[in-house]
Amino acid sequence: MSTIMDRTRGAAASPKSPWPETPWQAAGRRLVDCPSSSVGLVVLITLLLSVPTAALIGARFGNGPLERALAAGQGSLAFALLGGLLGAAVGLAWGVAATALGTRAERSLMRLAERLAGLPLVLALPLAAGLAGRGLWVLAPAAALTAAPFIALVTRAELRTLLRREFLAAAQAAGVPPGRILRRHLIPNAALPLAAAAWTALPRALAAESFAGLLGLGLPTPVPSWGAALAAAIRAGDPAALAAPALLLALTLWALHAVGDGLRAAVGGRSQHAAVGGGRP
Amino acid sequence: MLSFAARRLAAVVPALLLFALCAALAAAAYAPDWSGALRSALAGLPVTVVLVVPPLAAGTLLGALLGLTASLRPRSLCGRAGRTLGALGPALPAFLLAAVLAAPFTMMGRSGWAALPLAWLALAVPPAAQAARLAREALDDELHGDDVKDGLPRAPGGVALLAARGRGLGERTVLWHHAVPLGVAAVVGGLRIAVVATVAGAVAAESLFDVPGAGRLFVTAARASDAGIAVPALAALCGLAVLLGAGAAVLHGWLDPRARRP
Repeated sequence: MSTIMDRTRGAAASPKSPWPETPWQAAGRRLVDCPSSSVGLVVLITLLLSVPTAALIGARFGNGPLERALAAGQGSLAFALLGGLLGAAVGLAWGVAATALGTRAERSLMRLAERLAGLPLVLALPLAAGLAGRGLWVLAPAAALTAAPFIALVTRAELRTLLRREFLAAAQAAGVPPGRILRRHLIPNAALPLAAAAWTALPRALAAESFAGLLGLGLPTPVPSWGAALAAAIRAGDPAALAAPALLLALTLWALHAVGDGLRAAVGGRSQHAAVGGGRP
Repeated sequence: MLSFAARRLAAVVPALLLFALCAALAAAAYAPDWSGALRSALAGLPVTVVLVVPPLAAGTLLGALLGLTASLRPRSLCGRAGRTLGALGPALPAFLLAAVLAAPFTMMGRSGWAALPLAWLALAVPPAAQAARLAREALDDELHGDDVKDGLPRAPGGVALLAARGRGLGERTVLWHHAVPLGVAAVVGGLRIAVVATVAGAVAAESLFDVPGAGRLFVTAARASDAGIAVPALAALCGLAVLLGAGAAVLHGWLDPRARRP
């Protein structure tokens, strides 16, 4: 019963504070409340701290399988960050353009995103690496392409539900200028759902690079990555060397997904339907 | 329903023609023997179908059953298994499972068709995990979700369940005729994503287990930077994904009338 009262009235930020919590505090609380997403956050922070450390130490002494796998993570994680940010930017721009440019552009842009979402886009990475060389400037756009259509679909759905909310009509009716509506109403309300949508680019980029690296078509050879480590372990027929990178990759993917789910939960139940499969056309 | 199926299947024809055109152009431009390149891509496709369809169907079915059990009997063994499977799903992409299963297998020095059960296993787990998760979440949401709606507390359960209970239907009928179909509809709605992921996983599995399909052809051609074979093979794989995706959409429309809206 207490949770019901809390949710209907707006809970205090902490038992001591007399002020009701702000929407950002509520979102943060919902993110940490979800057990899997807080575990995921801890795992991600640990990995982000230990992977560069392992690379630094490993250059001098270390060569246990776990240290080597941790050091191999730097290429994977850096590429996931780069490709993920690029994919998120492209996807968000795609969705915002579809919302802003009018019905016809929206229909064609979203039909393109729908069609692309039905294709095995991960295969773009090995294809591009094989045909155009394994440079970073070939692989990062290909990884961005694997994530962008999904983010565009979710962005469009989120923005569409947001634009139909009552408070926007109220602000317009009250004569608030469009610039201020954008600053005071649209951007603060869209930020968290769009961040939750953009986050999905990170696991997609990581999985795509590991997939390509496993096939021998990922990042170029001197750059360490988990996919390449898996491929090397299979070529050497060494299950022991396979375990560490496989576990680390699985752990990272799980943590990224868990934090993404937590972000989606932090947005609140309102947009969960739009977020699962990109919404219904 | 028939017209929906016909419409949905006809909608993929332009995409298939586009893929065929791309494949023909790439083969004509880059391959020395263009008809041979196209033929080898098409010849690999049935192998990929054999690798993709059974694990997709079996995995989805089993995962949906486990997910429904996880929601209806959370304390039972199957229920716990469904919950765990759904939670672990994101950590188990098909290519990773295929790599883990392939390492001891290639060590024993065997390859090819003997690997088929292992490849099926690697490809069946991700769809099963996704189905388990979707089924459990949908049914949980429907049965116990949202005890606060629009700021007011109300009886737990979705609107359809409330309406069915309000018309005096028994709890068993409400469960089996109204709640479980919604869980099944959620699973089938996620099938399109599972199709795409399984086709991509099949490429990794074929390449790792050395199964002679379109996926292995694509990977070997891409490693050799041979666009004349890689692009037709990729076009064949994309065509397969689009066809299976349309089949999944038809199945979704059949099981869930809400999905039939154009």
